[in-house]
Amino acid sequence: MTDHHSVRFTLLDQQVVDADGRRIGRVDDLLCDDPGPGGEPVITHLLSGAEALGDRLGGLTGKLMAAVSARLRTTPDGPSRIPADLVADHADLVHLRVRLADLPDVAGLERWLSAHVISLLPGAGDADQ
Amino acid sequence: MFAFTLGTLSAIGGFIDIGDLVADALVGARFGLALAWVTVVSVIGIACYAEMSARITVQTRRPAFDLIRSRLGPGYALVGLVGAFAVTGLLVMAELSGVALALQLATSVHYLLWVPVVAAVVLLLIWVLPFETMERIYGLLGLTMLVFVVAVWHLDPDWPRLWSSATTPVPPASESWPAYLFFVVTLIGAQMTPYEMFFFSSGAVESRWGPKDLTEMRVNVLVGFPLGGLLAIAIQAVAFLVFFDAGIQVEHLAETVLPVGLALGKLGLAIALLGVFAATFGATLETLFSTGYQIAQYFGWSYGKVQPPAQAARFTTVVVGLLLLSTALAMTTLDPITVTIFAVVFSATVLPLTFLPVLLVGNDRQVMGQLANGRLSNTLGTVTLAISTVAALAALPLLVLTRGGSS
Repeated sequence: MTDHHSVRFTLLDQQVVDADGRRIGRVDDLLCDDPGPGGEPVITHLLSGAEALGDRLGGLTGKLMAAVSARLRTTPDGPSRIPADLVADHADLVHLRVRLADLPDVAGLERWLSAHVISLLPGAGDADQ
Repeated sequence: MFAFTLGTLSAIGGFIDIGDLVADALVGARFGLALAWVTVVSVIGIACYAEMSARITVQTRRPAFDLIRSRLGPGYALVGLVGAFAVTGLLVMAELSGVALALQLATSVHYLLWVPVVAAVVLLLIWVLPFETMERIYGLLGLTMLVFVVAVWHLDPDWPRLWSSATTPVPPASESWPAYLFFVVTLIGAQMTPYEMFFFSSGAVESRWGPKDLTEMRVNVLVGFPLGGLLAIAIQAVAFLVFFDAGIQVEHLAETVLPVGLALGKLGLAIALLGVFAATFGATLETLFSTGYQIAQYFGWSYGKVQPPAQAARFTTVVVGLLLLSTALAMTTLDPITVTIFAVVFSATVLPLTFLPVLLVGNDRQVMGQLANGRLSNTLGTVTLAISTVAALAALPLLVLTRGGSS
């Protein structure tokens, strides 16, 4: 295999971990700004979550995945975004500079389940250690 | 030393589960040892892929399923996820019923009354016990399954007849070729289960294995799986010795352990039941966690037991939800033995989907570097993949043609 640096292998579908090393999702899609004629596209945001993944997969399965995920979302607009400048390093895993608690739009289902279901059970521990 | 003994035990436990307990006894009673070769092939195949997926984890510190999506893309990984999730989910119900059936045999209380009790104990255990303690307890208890090997000697068999049965890989006069081939597929599905691989490699991540643990891991694989295979053949042998000539069909877990009772009396039967209990209980935990791992790793959620459940809320919800769903399914009085046979046949149909990506990642030198597959891994891996592909394609036609192996 050639030693290429396509985002397909170095960024897309990679595991995202926050500043505490906690797994928060995958890079399900990327958002680029419009380069204009001749310019190179610049990645502005990472999209994470099943909604972004469903949109990217397309087809019936993708539409279903995106629709279910969108319905579960508590924030009003679109798939959850992580600004690209929060990425510290993406040599292996995609490491963020911030903690999950600082990204209110990301992993909404995780937070909701943690706060409303799992934390109510005895011995579940603290969601925000 | 202690650690690797325990790892070996959990490999045995992973190999023998409800699918084996049912399929081995059934096959032994109808075909003698004429299908023992399938067990030998399965042991080599699953050992090869378990080693490969654990090696991938040692090199990358990520479980095999995690890498499948980043290397092969979300579409392919989704197909594998759906297939593996459906089969493993079905197996959770079968294993759970298996624990309850073992308890029924020990207490004469109907298994349906035990199902919710077992589910509650499983839930409590996954909540409070650390990963390694869980593995150790059922690994050690599972060792009592060796009583099946002892029982073979105590039944005072006609050894030349056992040997000639094992070396004659054709159906006996009373059976047809399609039925024989159906049980070849069933045994492949029961013995090379994808969840063993997921569990093995996800467990390696949770235990933070590095390159120094490579030898320990290989010893576990090379001792544990063959021992599991030996147990499987012993179950086939005792069923052959007790049921074959009498023409008795195995239809219940009671008949799997009955030969041990005949050979070694009540105490032997009690030990066998303890073994069955431990094996199915361990497999309930393994299948349950495997389904959680698969879905969590696909979407990149935090998973596992190293952090408190509240920090892996989606993973915990999937695991607990599936346990509740399986309990409900078991309570519908659906026959657990029939469900087991269907689950292992479907398992055979998705097997190549889970083997292929592991083989591809194991060969990817960009990911694996020095630890990429050698010639031995690739040869065995390719042959196993080919066998599992043929089995997968033949599984459903044979299921229909033989009406679930009944003719």
